[in-house]
Amino acid sequence: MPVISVANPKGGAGKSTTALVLGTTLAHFGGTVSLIDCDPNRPIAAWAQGGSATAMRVISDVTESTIVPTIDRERGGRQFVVVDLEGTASRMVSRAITRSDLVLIPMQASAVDAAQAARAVDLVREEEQVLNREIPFRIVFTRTSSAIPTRNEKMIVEELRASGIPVLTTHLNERAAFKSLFTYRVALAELDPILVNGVPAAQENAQRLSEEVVELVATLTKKARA
Amino acid sequence: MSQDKKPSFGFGSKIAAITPDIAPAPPAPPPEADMVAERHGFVARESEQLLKLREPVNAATAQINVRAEVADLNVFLAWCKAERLSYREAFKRIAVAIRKGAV
Repeated sequence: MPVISVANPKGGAGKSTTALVLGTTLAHFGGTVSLIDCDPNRPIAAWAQGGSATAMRVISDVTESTIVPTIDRERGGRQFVVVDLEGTASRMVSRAITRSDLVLIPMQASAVDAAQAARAVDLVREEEQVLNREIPFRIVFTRTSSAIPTRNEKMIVEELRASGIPVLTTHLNERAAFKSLFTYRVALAELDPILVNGVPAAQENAQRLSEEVVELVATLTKKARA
Repeated sequence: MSQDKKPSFGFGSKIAAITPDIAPAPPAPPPEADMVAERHGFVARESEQLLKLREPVNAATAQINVRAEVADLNVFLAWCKAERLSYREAFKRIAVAIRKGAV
């Protein structure tokens, strides 16, 4: 507990970056984390080959039939199970969602991303009815500017809020350090600030996002137990 | 969160408060969950794969033709049959034995 799935049927929305940043940050602060890489391109599995000292278990050999038992096995032994889902509408995605305590839906501030994120939201809402339990979800904006929100971004955020779609306050900003995680295949704390720009700011961003997620998870757990 | 900076106690303690799930796994999602997903376009993308009886070989392979005495070949073939080994598996056992100096 908790199982946090990162889903958006659109590719390039920032799912793997969000999952990796979240998983490695939680592990850095002492959490036991399993990250299940369901992307057929296996970006996190490739990252794990880079020799990072991060104590995070990466599992990549999952299929539509094994995703549910894999999540069930990991949730019993780890504080956090992060599931990086593929950027397509598949049964793997829907099955992982049925097992999630929180679904994070990353999206860039664009109409195309918003339309695909809406598909994930619709699926979550209908699965809630079938399973007869709440599946909490939050939109996470990715690749936004850390300085000034664009007009487009403001408009989309307002539209989501008006539709009652919850959005995380913290965005995963556009930062070279986040891209460098996949280049150097290490965690943020292991990046060389001489080689990569803006590492401290990225670390601060990652910590803020992780703190918001942990607080949300703690609140949801309390609510579920009440 | 830099390498030389200790993690903040506050965040670490919040993480420590989250515990692994000790409750047994919930029952498997009902088939309706897949049906709902399909209605939303979340369909099965993996076709069922036929199981392969032979394990794939992760090493370079080559082939040799052997002309041997029928009696010797019969000993080999009878052994393969008795041990239910393919020729490749049987040859592997012989090679392992040679490496160990057992023959």
